[in-house]
Amino acid sequence: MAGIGFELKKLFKPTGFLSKVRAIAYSALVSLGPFILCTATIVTLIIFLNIMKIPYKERELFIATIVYVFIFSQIISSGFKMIITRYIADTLYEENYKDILPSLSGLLSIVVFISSVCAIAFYWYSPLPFYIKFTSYVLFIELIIIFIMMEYLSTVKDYIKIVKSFLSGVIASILLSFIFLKFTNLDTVFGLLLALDIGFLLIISFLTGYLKNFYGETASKKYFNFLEYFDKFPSLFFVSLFYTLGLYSHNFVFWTSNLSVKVADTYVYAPVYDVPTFYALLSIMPSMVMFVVSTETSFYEKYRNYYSLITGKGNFADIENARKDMVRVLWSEVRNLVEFQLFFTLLFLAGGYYILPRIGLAQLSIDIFNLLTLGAFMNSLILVIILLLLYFEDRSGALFVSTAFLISNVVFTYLTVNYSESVYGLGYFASTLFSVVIALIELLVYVKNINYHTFCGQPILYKEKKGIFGKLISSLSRDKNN
Amino acid sequence: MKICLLMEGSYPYVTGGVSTWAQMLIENLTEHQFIVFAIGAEKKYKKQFKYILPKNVLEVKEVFLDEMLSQIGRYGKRYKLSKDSVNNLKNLITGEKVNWDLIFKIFLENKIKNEMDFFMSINFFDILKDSYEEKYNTAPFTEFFWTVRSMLVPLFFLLKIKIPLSDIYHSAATGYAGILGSMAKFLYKKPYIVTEHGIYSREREEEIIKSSWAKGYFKDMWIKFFYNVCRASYEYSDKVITLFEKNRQIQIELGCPEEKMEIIPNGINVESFKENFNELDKKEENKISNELIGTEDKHMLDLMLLNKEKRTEFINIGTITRIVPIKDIKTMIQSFNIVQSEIKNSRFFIMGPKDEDEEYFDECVRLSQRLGLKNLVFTGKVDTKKYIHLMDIMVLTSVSEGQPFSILEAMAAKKPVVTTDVGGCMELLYGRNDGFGKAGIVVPVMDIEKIARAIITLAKNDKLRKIMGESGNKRVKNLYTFEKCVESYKKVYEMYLKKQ
Repeated sequence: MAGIGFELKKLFKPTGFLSKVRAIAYSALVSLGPFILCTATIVTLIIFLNIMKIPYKERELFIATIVYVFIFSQIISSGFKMIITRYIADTLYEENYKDILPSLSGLLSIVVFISSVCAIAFYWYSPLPFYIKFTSYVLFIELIIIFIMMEYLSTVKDYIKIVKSFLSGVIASILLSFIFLKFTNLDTVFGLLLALDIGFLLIISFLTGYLKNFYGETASKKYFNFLEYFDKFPSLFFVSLFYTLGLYSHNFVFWTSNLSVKVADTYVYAPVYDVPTFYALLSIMPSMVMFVVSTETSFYEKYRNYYSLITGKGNFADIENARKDMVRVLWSEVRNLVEFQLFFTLLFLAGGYYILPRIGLAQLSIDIFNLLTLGAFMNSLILVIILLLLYFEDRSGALFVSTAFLISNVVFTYLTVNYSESVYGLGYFASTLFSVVIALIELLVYVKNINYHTFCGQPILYKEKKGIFGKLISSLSRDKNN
Repeated sequence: MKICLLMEGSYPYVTGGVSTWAQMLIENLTEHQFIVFAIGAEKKYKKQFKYILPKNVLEVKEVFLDEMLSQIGRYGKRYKLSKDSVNNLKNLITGEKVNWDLIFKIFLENKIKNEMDFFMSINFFDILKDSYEEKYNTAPFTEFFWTVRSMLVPLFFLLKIKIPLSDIYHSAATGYAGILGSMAKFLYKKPYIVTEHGIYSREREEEIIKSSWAKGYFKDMWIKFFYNVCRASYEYSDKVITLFEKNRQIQIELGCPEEKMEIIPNGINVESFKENFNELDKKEENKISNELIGTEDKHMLDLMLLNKEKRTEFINIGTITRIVPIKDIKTMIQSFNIVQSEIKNSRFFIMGPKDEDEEYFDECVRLSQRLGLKNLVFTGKVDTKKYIHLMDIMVLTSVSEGQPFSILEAMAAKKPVVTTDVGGCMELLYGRNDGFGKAGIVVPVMDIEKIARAIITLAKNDKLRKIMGESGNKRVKNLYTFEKCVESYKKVYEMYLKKQ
């Protein structure tokens, strides 16, 4: 008889929640590694320069080069890193191991092209000699490659090997710079950059070897399939980009102020402000590691329980209890983080008071350092909350927070720059305070309604979202088939 | 005048009783124009019509269930809903009585631009949660969520659809098609007629009880939902047409007001079933031979059908049916097995398409092989008007029927019928004191033994077969002609058109 009732079926595609969370967590952890090691290298070299009594002009050029290379490599790679993390997590979840390495080649070709265009445009009118420009450019590209490779290496999880390759590269750099400066007539800055280039090239080769070893030599032809993720999760790109831009935007504002210095007619920067920023950001490294490790143990357990009740056969009371449990642990993690970070912030403030004057920082820089370290305290919370929001698939919330951070940092810093020296650093501090409040409210409201978000925010029926990139890829692969 | 014919899961995609009825209606009411609004199961059947549409069909509007379920919405919206609206939406889920006026209003007021947005809104999640806590709080919540979703999204989709303007709305079932008719009535205040061939809510209920896709704890929810949906048609329609008395009684039981009801039985063209040939042509014979399954001797089929003398050496027992579970072919085969052991010269012909449910067909073939039924033939799709005359007895063993055309056809061809007591079968065979006598034997559903006995009785009694065949023929000629059926609908339409 007539009727279509019998056609009704339950439609459900379970998603790999857990794999995504792990990916975000590990990625956050491993990005800290190169950051710390690179920092160590550079600090060592700067100490070198001091000891060897290298002329101020050359020292200044080297530091300015490093600041630019370091900041802009992070900014350019940031958005791509987040997209590729998600792509790798999904690809691994679907066990398409052969698609992993091709995406690395594809992604690097795109990012290296974009970075090269930026670098060439930047150095076009610079009066610096070509060999300096070239070695700086190589260092810039190498750092970007390393940052992106780290996303892939976070899946290998053989941290000892990673640390070993970094150490060997760092040691090579330091030894080579010593040799170049002591025993050759090379230009100082050129020698240092060359030493770094070689050392980092060594790191890249080691890492490439590990990746090839892990994922095997056979690979698919899916070089650019990750581009679909720009259609699927465009917000991921911007969350990461805006956060990283936000992190350095107060420096950019200061580069336009009267603190700014122009080096070799090429680099504009504000050492009085930038150097304390650098030390202040170091203060949040330990707590980031702590957070990733501790969510892995206690929070992860509750998180898994909550989502497995949803994908399994939990009734609403069970789900609600699991939610409460998860939220409780979530906040206790955040509290732990705050306490832990507070300890390091105080340690850095005290340490800075003793050490910074001794390594030649002016009183203004030390005052700025104090404010920035307090800001960094909240900055750590902002980053953690963005990560948590991404765990819960609240991409729009994460984007909201990172956008607020970027805009407020620019606006508040701009206000302080034009006010008086005595409030330098207050802009960043106020911006982090403002953003952390927004972030906390977002997280609070989101986890309160997380049941709704989980049920109604997930794609009800799994459907590929195809945008320009997806269409581009399918048209390309069609051509290949013909 | 324009008539909007609302079809669900039948015309023009599937052949069968309802579709035959619809095609006949449109073909014979050339003075009216028809808009066919068809709700189909799967999008892949779009424009795959099994019928040649008559010229007076203005357009066919198609919607498909899988299309409805695969929509995408944006979540996070909040709508303004009155307390009454909230309660009625809740009743839709929990199966309490629904005030359809309010439901129609929610969707017509244009607050809801996209029904998926609404389904995924904050308000609706709360409604869903409350319903769950009220009635289903021990069931897995995710399953509940998906069940409600697959239950309500098609309904919401239809509630949001723009129904073409027409002078009369006529649905061929209650159910989803009936919701469209009810909504048209509510919106345009035009007459709405429903012809219920079976009892939609009862059929859904039986289906859901047996189904594996609806989990135990949600079966009750589905069943109540469909009762609610069907109630709308009884409430909003101006006229409820049913095919026979038994269904009329059930509809009254289900709450359909008696004064709305009228019986208009199906009708067939009796003239076209006059015996008009004796021999099969060679081509036809080959076709059958090739599709021969279940017989060991291929020559037998030639012998038994080609020439009349040879044919009459046997008792030919046939059924014209689609080979699907609802027709309970397996019971029929087991009955044939008993008949075969008693009537040595009996032969069986199952005539109808094999591809509608291939798995079931294979099971039937295996069953007949296991039983060692030698004289059973699955003929495939054949020209029933020819083949019916080659039979001596017609059988129907369905577990659910409306008013089957195959019985009307058997009666028109003067063949006695053995049928299970479902739908309007009893009324067709025994009449309601119309003086035409019995046209066959009615037996209980799934009763292998009794079905066999009835066939054996007829097989052994040549005279009885003749009498019953004649009785049936008389009844069909007097009560179930298509002219009569068409005339009745003509009158119904004209009455409502005059009123406007």
